[in-house]
Amino acid sequence: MTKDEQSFPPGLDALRAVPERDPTRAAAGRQAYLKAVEEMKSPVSSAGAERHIGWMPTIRKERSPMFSFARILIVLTLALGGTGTTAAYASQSSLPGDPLYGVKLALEDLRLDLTRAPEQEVLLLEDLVETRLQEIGAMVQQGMPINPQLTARLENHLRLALQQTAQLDDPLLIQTMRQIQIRAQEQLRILQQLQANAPSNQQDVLRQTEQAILRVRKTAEDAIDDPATFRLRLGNERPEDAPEQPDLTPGQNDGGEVPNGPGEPQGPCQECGGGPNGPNSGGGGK
Amino acid sequence: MSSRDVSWLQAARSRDRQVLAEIYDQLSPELFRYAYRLLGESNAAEDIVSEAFVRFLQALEAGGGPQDNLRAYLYRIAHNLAMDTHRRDAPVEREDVVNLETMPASDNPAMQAEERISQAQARQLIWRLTPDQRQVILLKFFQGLGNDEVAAALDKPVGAVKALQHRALRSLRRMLQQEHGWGVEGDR
Repeated sequence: MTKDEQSFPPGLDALRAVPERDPTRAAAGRQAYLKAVEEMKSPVSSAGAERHIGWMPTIRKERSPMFSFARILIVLTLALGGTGTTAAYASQSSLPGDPLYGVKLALEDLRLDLTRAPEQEVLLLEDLVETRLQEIGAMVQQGMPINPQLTARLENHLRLALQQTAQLDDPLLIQTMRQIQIRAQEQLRILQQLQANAPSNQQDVLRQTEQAILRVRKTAEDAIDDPATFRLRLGNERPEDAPEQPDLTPGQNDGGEVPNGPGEPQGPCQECGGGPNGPNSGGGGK
Repeated sequence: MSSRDVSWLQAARSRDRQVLAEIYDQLSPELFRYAYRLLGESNAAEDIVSEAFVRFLQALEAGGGPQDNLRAYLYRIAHNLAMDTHRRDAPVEREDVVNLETMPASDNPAMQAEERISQAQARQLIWRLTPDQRQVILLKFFQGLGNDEVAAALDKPVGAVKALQHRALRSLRRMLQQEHGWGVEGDR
């Protein structure tokens, strides 16, 4: 008996008992699977990719209250010609607190509103995430405090990018998620540089942003594995890392440490055996 | 990653029907046992097996799916599906009537009724762990996966899996002690 098996509470052994599968049900499941395999090889029609597969996109980004303002702004820009265009151009390098920063955000919202294809919108949102990171970098360089609204906006871009990706069909979703993974990697690299240069009182904000990007990267990984569950969870507005609800009756206190939640510390383990080559690395018993 | 998984995945990507059938035949029984242990209901477990394999085919068709460890991938999908089923049906505690006579004596809970808690009670305890802890306990102690495979299923390093296991066992022992009177023996 391994050390792991010895440490396992025998009170739970009842779970080892599993009934035989119902042969009819098991055979039907196998048959359905083989049928699906057949359909993979020879689609019903060449328009397979265009067929409705039972899920309709319902998630749309919220319309920003700035939309009307932005429309007015664009009209004014066109009307004023060179002056308006110059202002719009000049706003691109503005930072939070600058007079032209509102123009910059309004133009971004307008671009988002005018982008119809979800995959294009995801790319634009990822561009905007990097714009926000550049702004954070400029503020760190100038010794300015990082505006919390700035990081909130960045996190909103990330959230909207996932929502838009959920509207895509599987092949495009997987392709887009791979792009998101690559972009997240680059964003994390930029953040690490910022963290190296930022003063200590700015580190918390940067860490929070880093966590948000890490969550997106993990979500993208999971979505590539299982697009349907990704859509389901996003549709339910349930975060990937949401902890289980405790299974307690009212007034009852389990006195234990569960649920620990996903952020539980992973401290030293006294009874899990050694390293990868230790006694437990080969797996536990049944 | 086993060489079997590598060859399976290569063949699966080229839509080799024989290999895809072999994958189902080899892995669906253990996925059924896993889903059953989580949910305690045969029909729900069969549904999860079917859905997990459909998701696998859909992912393959879309150019995604497992990159290396197929078994761990299917366990991950099955766990996600079981979580959703449990969340949906949680108020009803279902349990199949297990045919004790057809079970090996060592697995027969009736033979050990005095010292073991019921399957439903054990399942309730398992569901009170965090999702990651639950997966570690079931995959390692009941499904017989090694640390590497459990780590692949959870997409975490082996060290994190060991820490999860440690915390899960501690929680289970505490729950057993407080609610079912387990003491010294279970508290090794």
